[in-house]
Amino acid sequence: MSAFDQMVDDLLAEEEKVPCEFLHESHHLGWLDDDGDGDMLASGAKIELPVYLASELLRGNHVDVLTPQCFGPQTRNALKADPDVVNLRDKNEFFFAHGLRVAELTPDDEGLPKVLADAFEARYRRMLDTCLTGSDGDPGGLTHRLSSTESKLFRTGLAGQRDYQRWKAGQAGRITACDMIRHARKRQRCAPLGQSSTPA
Amino acid sequence: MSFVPGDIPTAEYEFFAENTIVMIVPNLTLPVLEMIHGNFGPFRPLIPERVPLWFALALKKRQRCSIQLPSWLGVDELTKTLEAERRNERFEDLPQHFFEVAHLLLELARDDFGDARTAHSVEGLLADIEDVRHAKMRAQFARVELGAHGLLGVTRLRGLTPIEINRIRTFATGSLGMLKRLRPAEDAQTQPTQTLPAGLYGQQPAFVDDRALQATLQRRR
Repeated sequence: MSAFDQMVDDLLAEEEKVPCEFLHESHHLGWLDDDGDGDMLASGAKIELPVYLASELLRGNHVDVLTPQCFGPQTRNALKADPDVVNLRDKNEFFFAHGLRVAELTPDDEGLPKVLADAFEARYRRMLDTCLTGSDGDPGGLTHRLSSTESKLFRTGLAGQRDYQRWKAGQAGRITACDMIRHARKRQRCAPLGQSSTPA
Repeated sequence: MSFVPGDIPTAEYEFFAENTIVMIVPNLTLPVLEMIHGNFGPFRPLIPERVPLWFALALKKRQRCSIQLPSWLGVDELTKTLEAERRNERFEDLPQHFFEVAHLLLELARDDFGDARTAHSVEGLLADIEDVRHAKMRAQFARVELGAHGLLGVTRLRGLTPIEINRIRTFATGSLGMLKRLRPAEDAQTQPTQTLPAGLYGQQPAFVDDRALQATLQRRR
């Protein structure tokens, strides 16, 4: 997980949507609303907009940004009860990067930064333990619950640990097949055009 | 194994460790070797000489020398280190390439440890030391939390060798960086205002509030 990875996550998270409420009638914006017809957007219309658009509209005081459902009370309670078992990937792939942006856009929602930080801290401890024991496989289906940022961190952590163990076992210097090749069962060869390939 | 940029493979630390100076007893004659690190030799049979580890191991492979083990690699020394490591919360100060050198010597110069039993007990002690330190490191990182003035908790990483840090480096730096983003230090706004000695600048406040200054200027207009 490098600073570059984090920037990529931040960029991708800009596309995540947040619900916005329009504060006044907006002309020529009717196309933003899939259900609406016509050119006008009524005042009070609620539309989900990507963060990059919402932040600009918010700056011009055209919209109010509401807290998205993935940071709603249900998620918060679940995170409070047990941060480890909540599947953040299902809530939002870029839970933390997106959360940081949402927290910026909804300054009234004072609880959100703390929820995010507490959740990350608890989940970090869990990842730390799993990484450092360097156990094989995926104990407790952990990787399926991790958001994008976490799973990148987790993978680098595990890679470092495995590399160390490999070195200790004296296998570091040898050339081995890469994981992808070892795990692939049987790859279908690319048949030249015009020939039918036999299924593996 | 795929590596993210910035990661250093563990095998590379072994490579760095090969520059460690060790004592050998050669059984061949060689003139002075002029190297970037300095001059080594001349080598005469049975006269101990200082050389880099890689050279010692190369001679060893050809059975041209015996390596004198570093003092910290004796059974007694290692036992002491292990006991101290278990007793104290802080990490013992080990030579920089402790684990790599031990690993290399055990692998390639096993007969220099004396009998097989000694080598075996050295191996066991090394594994114990590593485990104890690893558990301590894990405890240190699990204690991490962010306080008002930044990171708290990780205070006792002093004494860890590079190869141990490397095991967790990318994960730890990434996670702690993320944690710092999520919970910025609270003193970012309420920094303690620096007070300068009064005699130096008279009674003038060292820190001028921008808004106060603007208000004053507007009143003057």
